[in-house]
Amino acid sequence: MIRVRLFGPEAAAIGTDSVQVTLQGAASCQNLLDELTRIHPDLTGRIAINHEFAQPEQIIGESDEVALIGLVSGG
Amino acid sequence: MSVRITIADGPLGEASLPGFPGAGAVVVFEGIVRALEDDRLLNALHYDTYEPMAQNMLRAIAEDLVQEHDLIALHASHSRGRVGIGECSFRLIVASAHRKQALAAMDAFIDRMKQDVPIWKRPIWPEHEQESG
Repeated sequence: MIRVRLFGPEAAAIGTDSVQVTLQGAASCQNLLDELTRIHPDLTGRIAINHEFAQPEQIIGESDEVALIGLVSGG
Repeated sequence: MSVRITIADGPLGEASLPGFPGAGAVVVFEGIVRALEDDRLLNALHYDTYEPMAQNMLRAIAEDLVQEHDLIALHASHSRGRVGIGECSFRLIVASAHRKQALAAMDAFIDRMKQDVPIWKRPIWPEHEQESG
């Protein structure tokens, strides 16, 4: 089970600041993004692992902090 | 070279410019909250940040641009939380030997921040604060 933190428009879109996603075996960021958008089609963005943008093939570890970063709007 | 990154609660106060030895150009940009959003009058903007990623990303962009444009200094400050209309939510100070370096770095910093730094703004409409206040 992976907990994915949500922010801004993504959190507003589904009314929560985190979601739980279940994946089998060693899951990559692309696996996670595919499953996340299958469950919640309104969600889009890039996966960040431990506060850095991750490559699609990066494997997610059990203790990693995972976040979905959608369109940002600072400034 | 000097890189300084700050994320602070509420509106940013008055700018205080330190000296930048060797600089021939010091450029200051301030982002100010406008009164109108989508042609509606608002009370304020609220900024949410994902930290420490926001701080790390601002620093990484700043360090890249200092190298790329041979800057003397780049200081960036951003608000978190509520910032009222007319108040400053973002300030960027860039110092370099020559004008073109500072102007190019400033433009590039803002473009990259708006693409990659996890900060989100949301409008606070008058009816929201009447309900809660």
